[in-house]
Amino acid sequence: MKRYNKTIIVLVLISGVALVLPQFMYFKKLRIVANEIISALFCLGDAFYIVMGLIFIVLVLVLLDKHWAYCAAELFCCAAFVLLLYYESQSLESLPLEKTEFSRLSFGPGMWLWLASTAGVIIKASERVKLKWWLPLIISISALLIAALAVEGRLDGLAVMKEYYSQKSMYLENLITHITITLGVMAAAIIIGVPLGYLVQKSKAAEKITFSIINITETIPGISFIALLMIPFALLSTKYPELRQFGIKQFGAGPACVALTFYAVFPIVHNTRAGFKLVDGNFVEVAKAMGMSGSTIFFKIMLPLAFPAIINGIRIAAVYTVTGTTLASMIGGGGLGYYMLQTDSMDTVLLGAIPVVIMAFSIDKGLRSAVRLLPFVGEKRSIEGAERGI
Amino acid sequence: MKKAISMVLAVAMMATMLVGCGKKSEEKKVVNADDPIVLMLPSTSEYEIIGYMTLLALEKGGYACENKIGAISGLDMLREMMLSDECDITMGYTGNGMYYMEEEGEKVWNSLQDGYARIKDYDKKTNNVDWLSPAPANNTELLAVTKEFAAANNIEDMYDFAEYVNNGGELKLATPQYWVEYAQGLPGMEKAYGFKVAENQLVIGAKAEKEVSEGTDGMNCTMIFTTDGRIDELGLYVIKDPLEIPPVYAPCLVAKGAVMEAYPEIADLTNAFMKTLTTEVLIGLNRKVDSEGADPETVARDYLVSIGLLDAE
Amino acid sequence: MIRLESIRKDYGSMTAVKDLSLEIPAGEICVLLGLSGCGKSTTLRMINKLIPPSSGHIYINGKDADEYPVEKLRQSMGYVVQSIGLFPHFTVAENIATVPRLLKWDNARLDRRIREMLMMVGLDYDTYSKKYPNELSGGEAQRVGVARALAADPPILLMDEPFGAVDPLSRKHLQNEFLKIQRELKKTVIFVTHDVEEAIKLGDKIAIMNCGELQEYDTPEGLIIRCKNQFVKDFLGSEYAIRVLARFSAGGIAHERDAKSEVCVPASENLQVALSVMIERGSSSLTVTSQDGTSVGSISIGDIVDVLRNTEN
Repeated sequence: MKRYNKTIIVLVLISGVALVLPQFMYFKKLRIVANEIISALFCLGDAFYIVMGLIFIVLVLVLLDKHWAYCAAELFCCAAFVLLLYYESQSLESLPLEKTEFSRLSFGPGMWLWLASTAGVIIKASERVKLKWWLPLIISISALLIAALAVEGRLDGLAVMKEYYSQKSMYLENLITHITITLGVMAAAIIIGVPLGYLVQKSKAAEKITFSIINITETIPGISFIALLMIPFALLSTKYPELRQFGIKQFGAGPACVALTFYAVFPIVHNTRAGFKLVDGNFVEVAKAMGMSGSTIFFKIMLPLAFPAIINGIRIAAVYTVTGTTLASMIGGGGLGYYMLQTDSMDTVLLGAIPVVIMAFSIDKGLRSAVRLLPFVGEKRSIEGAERGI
Repeated sequence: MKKAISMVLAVAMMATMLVGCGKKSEEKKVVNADDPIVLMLPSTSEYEIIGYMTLLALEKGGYACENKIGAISGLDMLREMMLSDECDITMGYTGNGMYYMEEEGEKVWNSLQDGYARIKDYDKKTNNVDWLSPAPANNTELLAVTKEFAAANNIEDMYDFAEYVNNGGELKLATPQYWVEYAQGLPGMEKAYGFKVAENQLVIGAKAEKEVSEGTDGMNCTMIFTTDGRIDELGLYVIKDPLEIPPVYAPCLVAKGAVMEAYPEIADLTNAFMKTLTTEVLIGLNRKVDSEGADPETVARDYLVSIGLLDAE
Repeated sequence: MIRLESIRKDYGSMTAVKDLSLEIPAGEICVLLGLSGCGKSTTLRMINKLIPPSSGHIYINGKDADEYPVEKLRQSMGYVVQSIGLFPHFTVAENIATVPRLLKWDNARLDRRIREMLMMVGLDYDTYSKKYPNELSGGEAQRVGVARALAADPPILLMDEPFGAVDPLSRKHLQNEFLKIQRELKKTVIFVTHDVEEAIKLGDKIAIMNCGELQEYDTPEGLIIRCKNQFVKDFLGSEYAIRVLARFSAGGIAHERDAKSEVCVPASENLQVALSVMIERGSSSLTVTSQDGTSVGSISIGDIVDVLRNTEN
């Protein structure tokens, strides 16, 4: 027992230390230069004690090592985060520093350390929490609170919000483009990858051809692949200008989409193949003996049994694609990569990175849960056990 | 088997086609409603600001435009976009003419008017591309150091800088690859002012304005573009260049010949604001975007209002 | 009624089944008995065409099996295997409904049938119908397997060592219940096993195979009286005759005469038990009693010895 506990305790202590570090936040008079590095105490004022108090409460809860205590600890951690954001933003006005209307507060090393250690506390605590719905609930509420605060302008002191306002005109469009590209690539990858995954475990020839292609494309780094693909796209669009309206042109999302599709197909093919291989031939034979036609067997027996593995492949591909789509902006395809490539201001990068991380995380968790919901998943072992009369 | 593969590839291409489909366009009623003028510029402040000024001016003048401002991140693709018919109007700099005509080192590019005339002539003849009137500004490549550094070492112009270097002063200079390679870049400076930067004093890769301002990695000097909006905020000082070594880079709008023939009024509409853009004005506008975080469209609009080309809303 | 005519199966140079001819009357259980690799499972799977015969014909009710479309043929034959093979992603009810759904039964009929089947195999509908196979014990799973095989009321049942994966006690129960079901339904059953006791218990006729060839095909009793095949004798074992005694009940051969012996045996018990009692109690005759204890006759050790010959005549 005590051994597990040690990690969480250390993490909580680190978060407390982070709050005390002198480099907590950056004050920027204008947009780029961090003119002052300020500590949490200086920044938050009295609110500092509130947050410190919350950390202390979390420490006590974690030491209690009880189920309800961990639940409460998660709650307080999230609350601390929301409060930190709020008070940091509010404090901008009252800081005794030379300000302009463009001044802003940006996360410093201390804040990042606090974020990392608190995230660690929440993750470790969730290992001890049995209620599956508790953490998602808390996180959703926190997210809603933060969103509400942002909409009301209460977080405007933060650099991220300021960046959002200056990027607002194109932000939604880029976000939608990003999602569209991801969905489109995933659709193409699934349509290609799942049947291919089935084919390669059925036919040796298919396996050879497919993997020789995929193994090559997998090793080409993303940017180079996109650059390579621009050549055929350019050739096609100069020869057949009518194709331009369909997006077949040298620039734009086209080459990026094709490259991303190649990358996404890989895990889908691999996992689909494993999924079908795992389907016990016994079931197929029994189905055949009962008089099911080939296609019925495929759709009613093989596909459902291979489904969990296929979904896993899709999950891996989707998470990769969401992050990989950032490359599309480099050749005019739009998307959140536009923000992630601006090195002047870390907060602009955040503007792009936050949605990407949220999306990747949600897709991963969502699909994992979806697979677990299937009633027969993970039960393969017990089926074999039942067959042996156990 | 083959059939399956080709079918699958066809579906893939279709899917990517559908996704790669064009960007949204800002349609307004007008002159060329069915064939909007495509404006494409990269996502760097100066380009975007001038881009939006162009957009606003053209729309005021009653033209429909398709807004692709900020569509690409890289500058190298800009010209290709124009030449491959991706867009109708974009922006260029007169000094870049020396690359397109492969005349690096020619003196003609050191004069705004001569350089402009030369590239205008060439592009019209060779590619049917029109270079509209340049702004009276020079966004050229000079060296910058922090204000403290300049004060401490008495550096006001390149002669002082040369002296500093020759006296063995500590130097770590950041610059992109191309600037150490061509005659009017660093080598030209070295020759003209009589100094030499040693290999180990060079950090070749990219300009490093922020790093120099913070003193990261010991860098204390960087190549800089002279209309960079962050100069003030970063506390940098651009070293004066009395001999005017690098070429003149005046911003110009570049349009497809066909578009100019169809709508020659565009030249007047855009010249109305281009002629007011001096180097100082550009620095100020860039500053608004880079240091104050304003969005380029607002900055463009406010400026046009301030010079009376647009009505305040 | 099933007739196999000169069935042969070759795998390359190895012959699994050689020139097998067999006739199975309708409503009877025919047991294919032999060691592993003797071809009994192969024969079974040729009947429902899971394995196509290399040569020879199979006639179902006089018609050549080739004349039936394969899927229809299989839908008319129930199939139960040792590994049970319940589809893990279907509930018990859905598993049972597999073939009826292929035959497009309507839901009401389906539901009635599922209830019927579960009752027949001794499982409670409410408890079991929504369970998934991974929640069942081995015995329960195989009961569902049998229910599934019989769901569409096929005239023929193919069973390949169906009770082999279950513990001996459950196996006994399953065998008894199966006999009960068979007495009611009178399916034509081909039952594959390597267990002599099981063959004796269940088979109306036993076909003994070795190395792909049919050695002997006869009733269990007939195998004692008529069989001259040394292999069969060795295979069945020297205690075979005693085992066959289990097929006869005391009540079945009891003579209605004065039962003088004090030692009793219930009429429902088989002759093995009767013989055991005789040995235990040292009495060469027994009084056969009915359930309430009244005497219904007597049997002597001579009756037991002669039972096979008497039966066959």
